Amino acid sequence: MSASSSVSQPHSASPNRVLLALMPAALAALTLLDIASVQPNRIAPGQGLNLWAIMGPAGVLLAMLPLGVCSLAWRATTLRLRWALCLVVLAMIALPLGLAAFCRVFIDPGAPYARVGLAAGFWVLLFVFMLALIEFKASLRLPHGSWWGLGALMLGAWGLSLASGMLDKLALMQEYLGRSDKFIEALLYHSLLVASAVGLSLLMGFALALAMRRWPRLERGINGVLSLIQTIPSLALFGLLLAPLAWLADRYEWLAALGVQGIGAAPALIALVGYSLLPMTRNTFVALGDVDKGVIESARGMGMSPSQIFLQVRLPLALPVMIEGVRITSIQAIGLAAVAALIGAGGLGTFVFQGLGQAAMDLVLLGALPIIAMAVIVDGLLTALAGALRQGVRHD
Amino acid sequence: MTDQVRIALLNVSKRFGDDTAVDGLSLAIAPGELCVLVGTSGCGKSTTLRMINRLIEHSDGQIHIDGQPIREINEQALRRRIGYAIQSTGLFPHWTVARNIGLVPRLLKWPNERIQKRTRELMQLLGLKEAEFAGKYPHQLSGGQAQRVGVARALAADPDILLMDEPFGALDPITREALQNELIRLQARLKKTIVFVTHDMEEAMKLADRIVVMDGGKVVQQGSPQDLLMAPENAFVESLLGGRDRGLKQAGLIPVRDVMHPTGARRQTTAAAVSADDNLRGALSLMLLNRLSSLTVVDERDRTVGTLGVDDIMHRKNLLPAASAKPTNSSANQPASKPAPRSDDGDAPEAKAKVQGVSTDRAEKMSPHQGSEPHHEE
Repeated sequence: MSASSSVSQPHSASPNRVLLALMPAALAALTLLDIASVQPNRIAPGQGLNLWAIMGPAGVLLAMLPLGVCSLAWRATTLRLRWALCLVVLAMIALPLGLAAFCRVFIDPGAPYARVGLAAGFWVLLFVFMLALIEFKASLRLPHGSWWGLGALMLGAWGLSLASGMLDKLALMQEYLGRSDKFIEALLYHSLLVASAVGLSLLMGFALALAMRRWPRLERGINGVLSLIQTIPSLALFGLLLAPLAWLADRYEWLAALGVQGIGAAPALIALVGYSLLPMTRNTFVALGDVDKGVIESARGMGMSPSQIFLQVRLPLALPVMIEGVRITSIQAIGLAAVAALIGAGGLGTFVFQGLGQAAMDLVLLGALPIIAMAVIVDGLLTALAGALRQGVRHD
Repeated sequence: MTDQVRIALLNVSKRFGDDTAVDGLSLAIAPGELCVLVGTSGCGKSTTLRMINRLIEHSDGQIHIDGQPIREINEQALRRRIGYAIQSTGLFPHWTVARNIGLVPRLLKWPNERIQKRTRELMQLLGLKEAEFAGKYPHQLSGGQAQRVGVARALAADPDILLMDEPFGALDPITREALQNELIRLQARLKKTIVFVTHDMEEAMKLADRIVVMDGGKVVQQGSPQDLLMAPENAFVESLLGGRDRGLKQAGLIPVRDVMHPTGARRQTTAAAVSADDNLRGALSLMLLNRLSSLTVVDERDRTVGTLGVDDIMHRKNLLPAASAKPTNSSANQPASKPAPRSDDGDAPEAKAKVQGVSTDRAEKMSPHQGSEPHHEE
C-alpha cells in the first residue's frame, strides 16, 4: 500500500502549501490568544489565560509543535506527511488531557461554582487542526479504514476524558451536568424530528419525482410550488403555520389528540418536510432521468420488463445521486430543526435560545456543538454511502 | 433450408408524426445471412433494425420472424430470443462483466450453473480471459473489451438472430478492424442471422453477405458487395462506394491467392512480398510503394508460394472472385435470387431485378463466394 501511494504522488517532494499556511495560524493562536479562562461562576466574565500564563517557559515547547509540522510539510514526501499527520493526531489526543490538567491546577476545589471557559485560542487551534486533518485526508492516500481508525482514536480520547469526569470543571460540562437528562432528551428529540422529516420527504419526494416522470406537464407546477416554499424564511413559515394549525386542532378533536397544535412538533415537522421536498424531489427526478440512455435502451433490447428495468437498472444507478439529495436534506433539516425550538418544538435549539436569553454562552455551545457534530457525522456517513454505491456494488 | 426466410419485412413503414422514417420497405433475410444496412444518418437503417425487435413499433406493413408476425409475440419474449448489440455497448455499469453477459439467460430463468457455464464459454469465445475479466466492472474495460462483452451478452442465450447497431462505430480503427475480423470468425462458426447497421461502406463490404443501401427510408439497392461494385444503381450508391476508389475497393475483395502464379510456373524473387491471404488492393499498394511491377507471394509462414505481376491483375480472366467458387454458404443470397413469396409487392425485388438486369444470372454465379469472408476462415 505504501508503495502504491508514494508512486501515485509524483509531486510529493514539493511543499504542502495548505499546511504551511495553517500551521502559522496555529502558532499565532497558541502564542497571541487566550487559550482558556477561569470563571468564578456561571455568569461572571472569566479571566483569560494565554499559553505563557498557563505553562510559563514550558509553553515554548508546545509552540514548537506547529513549527515541527511546518518543517515536515516543507518537503512533503509521503513519509514526512505521515509523520506530520502523527503529530497532529497526537495533539488532538493530548488536547483533552491538557484541558483536564488545566482544570486540576487552576480550579480551586473549594469553589463549587468555579469553572473553566474555553477561549478563542482553543477554538482556533481546534479549527486549524481539523482543517489540517482534512488536508491530510486529501493529500495522503491511506487505506480507508485507517482514517476511520484515526477518527475513532481522537474521538475516543475526547469521549473518555469527558466520561471519566476529568473535564467536569469545564463550563460546558457544568451546563451539561446541570441538565443531562434534558440534554439526552433534546438530542433524541432533535434526531427524531430530523429523521422523520427526512423520511417523510424522501417518500413524498420519490412519489413526486415518479409523478413528474409519468406526467411531464406536472414538472413545472411542482417545481414552482417547491421553490416557492424554499424562498419563505423559516421563522415566517412557522408563523404562517401557527394560525391554520391552531384552528384545525381546535375544530377537529382527533387532530388535537394527535398532538397537533399551532406551536410545537406539528408545525415544525410540516415546515421541515416543506423545506426538504425541493432538494429531495429535484435530486430524485434528475437522478432517475440521468441514467445513460444507452443502458436503458439495451436493457429494453435484452427483453427486460419495465419493472425490471426500473428496479434492477434505473433505481440502482440513480441511488448515489438520490443519496446526495438525502444528504443535503438531512444537513439542512438538522440546522432548521434548531430554529424550530423557537415555536416550542424542543430539540437542541432549546439550549441555544435559552443560553442566548441568559447570556450564558456555554449553554449556547451545549446546543450548538452537538448540532454541528450531528451535521458533520451525517454528512460523512452519507457521502461514504454514496461513494460506496457509486463504485459499483454487486447486487447479488 | 434454401427456401427459408428468417426475417421478412413486408412493405413496412414507420412514421413519427408527419415524418416518414421508413417507407414501404421489404426485405427478406435468410437464416445464416449477414445482412448489412448501409446509409447516411437519418436514412432509416437504425429504425428498421429496431423495428425487428419491437423497440420501435412499425406503423404499417408486416414483420415476420420464422413466419410468425412479431406483433403476435410478447415483446419481451421476442427480444430475449434476439441478440442486440449497440454502439455504446449499453453494459450495466453497476454489474460485473460476468453478470452483464448472463443477463438474458437470467431473464430466461436458466439454472445458475448453466448461466455460469454459458458465461464462461462466451468469454472464451470472445477472447476475454475469465480470471481477468469476470469480476471487472465496465468502466474498467477498454472500448474494444467493452464491445466484446457487449457482443458476448448479445449471444448469451444463443439466439438465432443478432441485431447490431453500429457496434464498432465508436472504436479506433485498429480495434474496429480486430473486432470486424472477430465477427467474421464468429459468424463462420455460429452461422447466426445477423442484421448489421453501419454508415461505413468499407465495414459493410468487409462483413456483408448482402448489402442493403438505404436512403430516405427506402432501399436504393441491395446485393452482394460485388454486385454493388460492378453496377451501382445510381450516383448515391456510387458515392457511398467511394467514387473514384471503386476500382481499388473491388480489388480489395479479391484475394491474391486467386490471381497469383503458383511457384513453379514462373520463378523469380522480388524485393517485396505480399501475403497470399491479402487482397489485390494491398498488393497494388505494395507495388506502388516499392515501384515494382511484380511481387513475391508468401504464405503465413513466409514461404514463397507464388508471384503476382501487374499483368496478372490487369488481365485476370476471372473478373470476379466468384470463379473460384466454393459452395459453402450457398443459401446466403437466396432471398435475392428467389424472393420469398410474400415479398413480391415490395420494392426490394425491383431493385434486385435492376441489378440482375446488368448481367442476367450473375447473382447465381457469385452467390457462393461473397465478401472477404472465405479467406478469413483459413
